[in-house]
Amino acid sequence: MAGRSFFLRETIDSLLSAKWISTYLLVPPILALLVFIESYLNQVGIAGPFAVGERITLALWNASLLLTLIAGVQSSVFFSGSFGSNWFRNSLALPVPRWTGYWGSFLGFLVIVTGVFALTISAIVAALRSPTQFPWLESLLVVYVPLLWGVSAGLLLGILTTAGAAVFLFVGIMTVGLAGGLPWALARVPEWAGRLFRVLVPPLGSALSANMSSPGNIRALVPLLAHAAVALALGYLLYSVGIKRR
Amino acid sequence: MIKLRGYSDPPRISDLDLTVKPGEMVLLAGDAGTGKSRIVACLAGLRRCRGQKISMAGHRPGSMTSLGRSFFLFQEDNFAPGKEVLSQLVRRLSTRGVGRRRARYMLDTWSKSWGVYQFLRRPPEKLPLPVLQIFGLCELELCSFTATVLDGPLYNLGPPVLEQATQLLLKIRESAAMLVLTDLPTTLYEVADRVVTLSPTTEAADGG
Repeated sequence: MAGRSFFLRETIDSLLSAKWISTYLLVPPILALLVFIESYLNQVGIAGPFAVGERITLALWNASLLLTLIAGVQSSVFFSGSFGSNWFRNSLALPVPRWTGYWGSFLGFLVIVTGVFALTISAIVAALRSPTQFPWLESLLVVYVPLLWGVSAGLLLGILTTAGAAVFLFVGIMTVGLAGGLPWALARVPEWAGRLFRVLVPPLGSALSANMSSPGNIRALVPLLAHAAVALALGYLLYSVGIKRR
Repeated sequence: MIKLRGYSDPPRISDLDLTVKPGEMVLLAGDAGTGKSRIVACLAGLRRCRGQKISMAGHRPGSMTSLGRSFFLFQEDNFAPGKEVLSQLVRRLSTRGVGRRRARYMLDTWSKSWGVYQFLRRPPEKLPLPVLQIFGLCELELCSFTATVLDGPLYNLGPPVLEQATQLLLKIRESAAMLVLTDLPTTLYEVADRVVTLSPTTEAADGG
């Protein structure tokens, strides 16, 4: 059916505008800065020295988390504006299945973000010397999951609240999720609170630390995938209710 | 056919019965705030209307069959801001089964006939209001429908385009049921088959 790709194409068209795509120009300089900081910490003896495999994993995770932050913030702003707009609601009077308003928009966003991810990762892969035994495929799959989570969480928050509040919440959740991976962070809270924390907060930090010790550890990313799936399902539920209420 | 039976929107409208048959133009007139836009939303299936019998093109409002046979013109926000109108119209036409290349050709020809060709590649916020209104009517002329709901279709239009748009609506009326909503005096009063006036707490029942 021709109408099924309507929102997918609308979203891609919107996101390809300079306003949205230009934010990703921040990625190369920030990554360069991270490499500089990493080598400085290495020199003064605070971190490292890193083996080649660790350096690749760190570089991939740096890129992944940076893109997750940018994509999550963009997703919060974009979906908050898009789903809240009169134009979007009026478009649902076209012969287009209503579910595509949600899934088509999500997929459109993911297509753009995946394109940027592919370009960034290609640059890293080209720049780094690769050991023969490095699990490339698993590692690439693993670092894609945070990005998927970022877009899904941003989408849910965008539906729930205004753009500003959604961005604030997203950055807060991501920060807490990363802090959760620090060894001392959960040791200081009661056990029940730790369990609740693991359920409610995306385990970004623990996934990162698990993959630093064993690269390509897909199993460590399953909880994060579950978080993304729950965010998407909850978002769809709210979207379905919301389109009839406004 | 457009059918509204026992439509209520308290406290503004208490009980509205309205039927628009194919080949008929019904004007639903009322001041701002009398609940016209909500009627459009109900007919498009964008608002839940419990306990009321409403059908659009013979089907449940919001169903794919009903949407495929219907055209809705909203008072504003028919186009997304920031994107050129041409690509938006091409995508809208594609939902009606018109191929991309054919849609572009049709839009070129159509826009020239309305004198708005030079505006096709601009985003809606950079268009004069009459031009935006004309673009809103584009699908109506390029596709065929069995039911149309038009909220203020002639707003912002002046001669000679007003005459051209009126002629277009009269042409569409020949084959479709047409419900026109307006809060301003319009030339359509003279050509409409019936006028239903909404006032606070309307209990209108038309003969249709």
